[in-house]
Amino acid sequence: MQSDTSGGDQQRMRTLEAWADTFVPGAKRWPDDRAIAGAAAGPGAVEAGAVELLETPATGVSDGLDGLAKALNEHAEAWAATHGVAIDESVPAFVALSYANRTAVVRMLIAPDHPEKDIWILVALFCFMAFDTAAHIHTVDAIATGHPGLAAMGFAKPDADGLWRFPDFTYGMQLASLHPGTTPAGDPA
Amino acid sequence: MTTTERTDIVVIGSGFGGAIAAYHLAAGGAKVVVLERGPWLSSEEFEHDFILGSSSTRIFEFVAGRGMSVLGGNCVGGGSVVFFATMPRAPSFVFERQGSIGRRLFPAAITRETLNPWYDRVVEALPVHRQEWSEVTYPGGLWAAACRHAGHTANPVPVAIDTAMCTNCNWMMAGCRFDAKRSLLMNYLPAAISHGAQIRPLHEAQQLPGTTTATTGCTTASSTTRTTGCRRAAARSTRRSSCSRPAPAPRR
Repeated sequence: MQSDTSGGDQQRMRTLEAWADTFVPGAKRWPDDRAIAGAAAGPGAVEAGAVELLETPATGVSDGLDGLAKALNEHAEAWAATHGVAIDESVPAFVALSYANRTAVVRMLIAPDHPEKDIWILVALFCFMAFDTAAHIHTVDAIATGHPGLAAMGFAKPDADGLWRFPDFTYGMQLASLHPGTTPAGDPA
Repeated sequence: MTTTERTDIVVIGSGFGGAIAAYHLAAGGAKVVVLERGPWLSSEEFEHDFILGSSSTRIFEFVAGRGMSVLGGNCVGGGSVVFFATMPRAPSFVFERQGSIGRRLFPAAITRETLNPWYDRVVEALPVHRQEWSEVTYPGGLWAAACRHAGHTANPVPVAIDTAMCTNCNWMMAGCRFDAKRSLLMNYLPAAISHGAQIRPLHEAQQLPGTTTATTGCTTASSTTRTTGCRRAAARSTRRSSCSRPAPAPRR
């Protein structure tokens, strides 16, 4: 379902979605979905909650998202102009780019010599984190609601008390020879 | 609020470096205050939860660096609360390694042999458990099998874990909910407290001013002479205004 947010909020959200989708790509949510490029099957970082995580105050970046989205679109515009790529002005510049071109912009921003590298890597990190850990919601809730990242990794369900226990945890057999110099404490000498 | 207090010893940090020193000094009769920047969590507060603001983030400090990001313990017990409790002794050859100018990296007095009595003490104090193959986890077993296939040996690593209490929950980095991990919360810190040491969580050392005149409780010192014994330290600590992380985000 498309969001009913409008104006600048919507521009910001679509920009951040396109950013997140560049790192953990997913399938388009609806046929004319512009933010998600559709570079992979199944849900990616956006549906895993990347924007919700970025908007969580505990990330420390939530207050700066307006500026980040604006800067990202300016970088995208500049990159497009440099590379002769036409931009559809009805959507934010980064959203207008193809997946391959978004990737090229990201590659530029996180290059070792880019002056803004640290902040772009930090914002990228949260996109991975949304998929890998669903850090914006309680993990038991994430699993109960089928969070795509945790499901993709086969994250096990907790016990009834919300805690994890794995009574079956070992092959139960010796799988290598001990170091010949092993001491009585168990360490190599 | 800033207050000025006096004590014999101020220990900054309650991890492996601080807790062990705090215990020995307190047991020896010194008045010890331990300042710890992070919070003090009890077992039931160690959560199985990735949400920002849960124990897995409260007891950590995360530094996003240039080329490398670092996770470090930031709580009473320090790194011992969040580490994986593996306690291998460094093999002898490690201490003989040489640097780029051909000098031994470790001081000449430090060898595996000279450290062994101290390793023994740690094994007894935490205590450290020598794992049987029946206690080695699937990932450990897989690693051992990979080593064997590559022509190498593999030893089950000694651990600071009470394996009878361990549930193999896989949440070791969030602190041990089941009191199975023998962190410093289970040994040196309670021992230090029993000898009168004070642990102050959410206290960060912000300034260590040098002294132009030495003061001492047992001798009279001239203005240019520092005494090395019986010195009493004035400690200034500032209570942190908030926890290391904001409150958890509301449920979606």
